[in-house]
Amino acid sequence: MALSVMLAWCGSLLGADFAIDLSARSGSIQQSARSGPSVSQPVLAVHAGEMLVAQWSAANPQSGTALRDITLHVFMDLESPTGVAKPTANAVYESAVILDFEPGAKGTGNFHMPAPGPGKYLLRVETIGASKKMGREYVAAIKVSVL
Amino acid sequence: MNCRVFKQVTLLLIPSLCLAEHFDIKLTAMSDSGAKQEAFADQSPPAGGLNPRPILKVRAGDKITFQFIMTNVYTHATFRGAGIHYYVVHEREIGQKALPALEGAVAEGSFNFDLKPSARVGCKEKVAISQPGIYLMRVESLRTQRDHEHFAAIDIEVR
Repeated sequence: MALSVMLAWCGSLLGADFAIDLSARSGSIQQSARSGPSVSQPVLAVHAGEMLVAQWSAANPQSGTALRDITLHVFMDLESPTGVAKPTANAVYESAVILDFEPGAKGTGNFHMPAPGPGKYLLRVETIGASKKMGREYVAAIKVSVL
Repeated sequence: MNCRVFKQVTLLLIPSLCLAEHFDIKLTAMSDSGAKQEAFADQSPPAGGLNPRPILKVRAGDKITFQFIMTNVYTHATFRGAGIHYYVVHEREIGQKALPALEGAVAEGSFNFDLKPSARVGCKEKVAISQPGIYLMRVESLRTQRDHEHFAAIDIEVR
């Protein structure tokens, strides 16, 4: 009992938290992002029509809190000039999956498609509903610059 | 329960057991020229399913928006390690029963997770197909540990 409490405490110190990992790749170039306090977004440059591959995972650690009815929302759309991270009706990709994340649970997803027309796009994976128990939502994002 | 009531209940249950579904699926494909088709849940086996596929006719280069919503309507258990897979890929002919190879797919994606009762998966994507031909747009369940999987599919004729 004391050991498990200590392990859970150590886990929280080591950042054993719900996490989203996102990667985007075209040819041999890849960028990755992980949810966390950092707001920096790596940039992947691709040419229109080149195959773009995106992969993501969302995982709750064994020591994590059970999270129920979490929507994992993923989209890729032209960046909003106002900086608002919301997809429009013209998003090239958008998906939503409603999941329970028991301790140790993991969900993954991916897509590949020809890169859309030139422009600056945002590829973003976010939770909706995690804040009820965790006090915040989780986001990972990559900017995709299509030339 | 007396014998008569038991028979009535059994008769009522048999059709629903035979038709037991675990996914409700709606797949929609729309071209920017206004053409639209919808497909709903089918099952495999048999290969290619039971229902004929609708055909969306578009011109090469037309932008096609496809969207699907899948709902797990099997309320008795969570499907551990289940998956949803979708793709748009070239096929030989309209109505082809055998699934084409996925190499060179125009678009493809998947989701892998524990699928709880009443869980929903929604996805929308835009693609343009530059080469004329016949294409299959299909979304399918994977690893639901049943004797069949569900899918919805639309043929796309690109001129």
